Amino acid sequence: MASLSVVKRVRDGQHWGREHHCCGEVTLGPTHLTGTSVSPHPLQVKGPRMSADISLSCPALAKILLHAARYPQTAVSGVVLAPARSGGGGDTGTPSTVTLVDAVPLFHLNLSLAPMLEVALTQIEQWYKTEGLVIAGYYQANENIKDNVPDFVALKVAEKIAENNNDACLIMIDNSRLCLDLVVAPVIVSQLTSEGKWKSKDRSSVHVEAGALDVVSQLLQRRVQHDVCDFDNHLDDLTCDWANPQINKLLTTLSAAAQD
Amino acid sequence: MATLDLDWEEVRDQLRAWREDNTRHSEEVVDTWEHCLKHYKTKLGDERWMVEEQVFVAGLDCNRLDIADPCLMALNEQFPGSLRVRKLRAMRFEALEKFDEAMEVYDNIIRQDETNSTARKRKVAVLRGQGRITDAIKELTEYLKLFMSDSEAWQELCDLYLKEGDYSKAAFCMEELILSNPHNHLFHTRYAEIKYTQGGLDNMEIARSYFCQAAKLNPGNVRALYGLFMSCTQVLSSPKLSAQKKKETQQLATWALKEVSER
Repeated sequence: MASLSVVKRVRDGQHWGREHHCCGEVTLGPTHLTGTSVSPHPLQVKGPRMSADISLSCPALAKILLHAARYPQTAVSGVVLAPARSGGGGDTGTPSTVTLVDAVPLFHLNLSLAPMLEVALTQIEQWYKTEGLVIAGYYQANENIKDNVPDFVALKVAEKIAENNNDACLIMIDNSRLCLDLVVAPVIVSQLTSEGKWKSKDRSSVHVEAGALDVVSQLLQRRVQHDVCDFDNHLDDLTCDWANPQINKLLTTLSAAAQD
Repeated sequence: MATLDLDWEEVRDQLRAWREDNTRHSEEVVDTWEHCLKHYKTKLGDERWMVEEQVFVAGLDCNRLDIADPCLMALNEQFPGSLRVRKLRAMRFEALEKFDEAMEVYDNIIRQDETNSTARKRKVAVLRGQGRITDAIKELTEYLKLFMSDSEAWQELCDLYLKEGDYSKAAFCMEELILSNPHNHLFHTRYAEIKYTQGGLDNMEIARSYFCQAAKLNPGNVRALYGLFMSCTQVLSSPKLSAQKKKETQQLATWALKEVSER
């Protein structure tokens, strides 16, 4: 099973204790999730590329929205993945587009508890390293349909991810715009400014893969959300694969059919 | 969904099982009712009214008032003046976002029957639905002063405190739950997760022991095993640990990881 083999791989290296990092140092312990202030303190970010456009691929958008649709009664959260940047952080060359190629749904219960979050982030980072992908952001859908403001959990986790990835984004799902016939991507994407505050990007700098909205609408109409597995499901039943390869396969089939 | 092929008796049994487990399957309930059981409702006997109530709530959940309203009318006809049916009417107001009207009905119910716990709990739900978490917490703490053995309420209160980020109060709620349900491994796991999140060596050691207990109560609890491993690792990184304790903790961590990989 995917994640178990990750555990095995890491167990063989005796340095699990030291290499226990996810996107750097993940101990999301006391000072992080239990900080008294809700708004993020200014971070020393190495030249954030606020100007980089974000592009959501079909698999990423599909998994995010299907996850939210599966649990309409609770908040859900997950991470998004992007190809690793080869030049390292801090380069201030011409802004390019960050393509979010995939997403991993994480939780629908108790988003604010640290231990499972740390396990998940570590496993995901390890698993996707072989495919050249890194964790590039965090998404969350709040419980209340009218609420699309990031809460303290979203801010803290996104901050943590941003410490290791300049282009990290925070995606809040716009619950009221989630429907069976998507016209516009129901997401609000934010990135860190140089002052360390999360600023939402214009609609014009958030792109969605062509045809993705139609495909995702189809999936929602066909109630595919019941086949999506998140990390919570995996913890309850280890045979559930949080990488959701069946969704990727379905999307390939659908887009191949659309091209015919 | 090939619900037309389902035997109405199977559907009835399925709905009964969901009622007993108190699980949420709103979409399926609405579907099976609409395509199958609705046509056999007269054959359900006394169970009909519980099914109508279940379908009503499922209908509200899925925004299918066309399904929910006939159920409410049937229940009203059968049980005029019933407080239980009145509560359902208030839930309908909630679904239409008419929160003030819903609150009024609940207050009326409570005035008529002081011991009615469901109406009080619905008030908390209304406040939560409006996003007024602090008010919901206040209302729920008042409720718990009267009905202090209500596990469901303590769980909800823990959830609300976690939403607010008040980990110490959430931990207190879990402590109450563990006191009244000491064999429930899920409560031990949740408590340990909260303690872990609070951080600090003491909390980490408490987390470790509760994860241990949860794993003992249910060796298949993967969260407990992972949690045990994580908390051991955290404890090991503390400089204040004696060498012997270090060794014990390391052994525990290795065991936990082994357990997980064997599953």
